[in-house]
Amino acid sequence: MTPGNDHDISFEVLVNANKKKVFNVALNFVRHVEDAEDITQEVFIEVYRSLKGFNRQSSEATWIYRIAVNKSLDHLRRQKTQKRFGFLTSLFGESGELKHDQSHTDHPGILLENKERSRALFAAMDTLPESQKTAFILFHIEELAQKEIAEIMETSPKAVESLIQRAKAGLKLKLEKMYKRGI
Amino acid sequence: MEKEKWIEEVFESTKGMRKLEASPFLFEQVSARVNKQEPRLSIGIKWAMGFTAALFLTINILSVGQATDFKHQAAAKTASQQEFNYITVYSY
Repeated sequence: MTPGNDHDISFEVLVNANKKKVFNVALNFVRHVEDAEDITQEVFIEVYRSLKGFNRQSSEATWIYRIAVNKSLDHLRRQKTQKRFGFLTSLFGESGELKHDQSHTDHPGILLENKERSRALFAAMDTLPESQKTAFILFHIEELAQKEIAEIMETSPKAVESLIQRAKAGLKLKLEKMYKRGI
Repeated sequence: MEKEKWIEEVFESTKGMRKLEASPFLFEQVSARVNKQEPRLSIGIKWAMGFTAALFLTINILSVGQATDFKHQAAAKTASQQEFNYITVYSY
């Protein structure tokens, strides 16, 4: 990157216009500020690299959202693998502990009075399949329209609607079990 | 029902959620990581690398040529020796 270069100036504008959105999407997935910051950086590195090849079939915002979702899911997958590997190494006496355990992390943007209940929601969300979880986060937390979610997830609005319905049904079942267990 | 009410409240618990601000130095952090991953080479270094590659190629071609010459010379020497031996044997 060279200061003063036209491409880099437009990239700086792009970063500043979208960084809050990207950071909050990542945060909704990982619920950890440092990890979300790291994902945000990775998203914009990816954007910088593929900016020239961006074909404008979708809007810039949708494209950036898509990268943010994919990077967040990648991060969660890596974390899961790390967790499994940590368990295996702990069997052999080596410490393979994670920096933090996602399941015990509160979302930093949640209002204080909602912390307890949101913990149950996020714990239930962690059990959902990736596509349902993505659709639910984008719809329920990011409050995006189903059409926009469909563009981000590269599917049809009908499929998004079905994913959201299934996510809600799955969450309800999980929450009922939690309620019976006394959470 | 209490359970239904609780589930509804859990679903609503993300309402009014605060959007957090990203790092004010994000652009600088991204720039630093991009530059670290893709170090820019100066024109001089690029020319030097090109020159070195060309030099290596030339040396390689020359040594292959020389090796072929040596092979030819050795083959010719063997052939003449064989011919000499043949003549010698024949004379004997």
